[in-house]
Amino acid sequence: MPDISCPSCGAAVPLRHAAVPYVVCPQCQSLLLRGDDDLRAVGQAAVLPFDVSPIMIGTRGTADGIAFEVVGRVRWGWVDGAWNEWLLALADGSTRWLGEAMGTFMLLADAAKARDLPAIRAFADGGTIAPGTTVTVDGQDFVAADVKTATCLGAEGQLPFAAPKDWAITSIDFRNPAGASLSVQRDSRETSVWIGRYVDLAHLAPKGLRRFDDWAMPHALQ
Amino acid sequence: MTGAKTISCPNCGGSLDVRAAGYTVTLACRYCGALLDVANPPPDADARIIIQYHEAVAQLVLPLGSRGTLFGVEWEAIGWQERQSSDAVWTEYLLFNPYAGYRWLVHAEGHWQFGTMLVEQPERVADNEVRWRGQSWQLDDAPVTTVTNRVLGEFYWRVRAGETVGAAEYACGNDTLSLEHNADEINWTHLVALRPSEVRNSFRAPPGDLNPATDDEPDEAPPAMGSGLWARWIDLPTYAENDAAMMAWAAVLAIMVVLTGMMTFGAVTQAVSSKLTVQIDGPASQITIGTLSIERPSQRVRLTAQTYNAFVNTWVDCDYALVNRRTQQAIRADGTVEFYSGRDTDGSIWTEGNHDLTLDVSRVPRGTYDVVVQAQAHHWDDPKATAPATVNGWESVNTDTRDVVFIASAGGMDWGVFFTIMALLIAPPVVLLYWQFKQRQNA
Repeated sequence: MPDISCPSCGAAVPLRHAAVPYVVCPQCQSLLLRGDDDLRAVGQAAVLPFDVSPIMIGTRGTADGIAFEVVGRVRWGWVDGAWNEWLLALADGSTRWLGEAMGTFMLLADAAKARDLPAIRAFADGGTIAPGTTVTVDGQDFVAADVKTATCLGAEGQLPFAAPKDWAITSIDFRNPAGASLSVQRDSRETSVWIGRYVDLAHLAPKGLRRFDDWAMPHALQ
Repeated sequence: MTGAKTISCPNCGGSLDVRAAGYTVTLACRYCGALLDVANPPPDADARIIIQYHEAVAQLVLPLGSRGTLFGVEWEAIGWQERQSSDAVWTEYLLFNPYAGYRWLVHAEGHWQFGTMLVEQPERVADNEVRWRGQSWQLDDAPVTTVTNRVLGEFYWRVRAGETVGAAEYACGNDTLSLEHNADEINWTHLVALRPSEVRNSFRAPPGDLNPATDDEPDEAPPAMGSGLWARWIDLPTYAENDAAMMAWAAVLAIMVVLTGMMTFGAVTQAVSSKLTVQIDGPASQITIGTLSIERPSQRVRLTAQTYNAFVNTWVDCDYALVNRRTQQAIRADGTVEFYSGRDTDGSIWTEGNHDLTLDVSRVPRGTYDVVVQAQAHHWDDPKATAPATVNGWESVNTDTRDVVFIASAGGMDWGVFFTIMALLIAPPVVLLYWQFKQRQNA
């Protein structure tokens, strides 16, 4: 896929995945919306603060048996910390999110049908979900573990949505005794539901992880 | 690019590495102990002060920034907390690797455990039993309340001193599942035991790990990490900094007590002697050296035979008998006094043997004994001798008789036993002091 120039600063903007509409200019952090054969500046993304995530745009691997490439990231901050959500573009054209928090990873897929569950529908309509609330998705019980209000700290690469500064969401993590997880996120316009599980980085058979001068890449990830 | 980000402490100005940048929420300054919020810093600074401390920060067994490989992954100790329940105090290091996330290294009373947070929840079977990974885990002790006393370094959550959680431990074999819970969350950690030497040998302090707060002062603290015997010593739960010196003083005191005791009880209570003239290559001669009365339940009897310069190239077989007057039973001992000398082909004089013979008969029971000795002398002809051998050219050696003085004494100081006791007492503290000295030199 050819690079396109940023309309704001002229820098080359790499595009890795055709079906993802938004991209952040790596040079000037302009938030760009892709047209047929050009880019249009629609806002400004925040500069991502430094972090030591082993993932970066361009990291490849295998998720659910399908090859993927990391094409974008959004970083969320809340009062007691921050987490990353990496957008994985899969070879079959679908996407997944790789949530990264406290050194652990969650591989999440869209669970649109779960939006019809009464508890989640009520939440989408502006209600609340208290910690301890149980929902059942695909025969698995999930218990709401914590409810956070988060704001977007920054974004990079390609994203399915515009990620403006100070974009606020309410995020609920559901846990399950077997290590499966469910994530429900609501912003001012819509609610999304994601289902998945905790994964080890090694299980994704990652290639092209970020390298650090002062850390050796573990053998399992080489 | 390195994984660490450097910030300056807004409290003391010290330069701090944030080793898990992006994950770290709270950082306790390694210089001043101030608790800093690095997740939500003010716009013009790297961190916001949560609590100001000016106390000296703790000396850690593993200085923060120490790295070591456990289970095939290199870990850096980035955070430390001291925690306490009603009956125990222990410390926990937070380990980090950007590719592998976080682990725990728990140090309690000399024991180390490696902890991994569970992403799944063990299943409750009964009040005192849970199931995890197909195994049954039994509640170890009554659940306790754990309080965090002190924190240092960086953490991925908002840590603070004084925080309390409910805690319980479930065991299966040598492994432990630790449960901690507060109002907001439940955390399970799987703990496996490590050998102290595994931790010591693996972890290395970061280069140039010096605390600026104490730079101008002599370093009074013991070296944080060591190797070999010293390392195993400081692993012991009872270890204290001045152990080795205390042990050395205790050993010296014990030696003096032993010496006084042995000299008091080991004094010679009675001694008798007689001179016997033996004929070279003649028949055996016999003499009663004297009579010894053993007043104690038992006592040692020392039998000494002394000869003089003329005693060369001669051996005397001595057969002693301590004959109990009442029972006529004999305690026997024998030995040989022998001394040889000659001139080698290169002209040098060699000697072998002694002019004296000492035999100890230990634990002779109470009673009155006649000490009798039978002695027989023999001459040895030096085949290489071209002329009658002499010692120092003083006397001819070929006289026919030799005088032997026999002494029998009850009691007496056993210096061999004393020096053995002294060596055993003094060796451990001396070795430890030597290690301590070496470690201080290396520090």
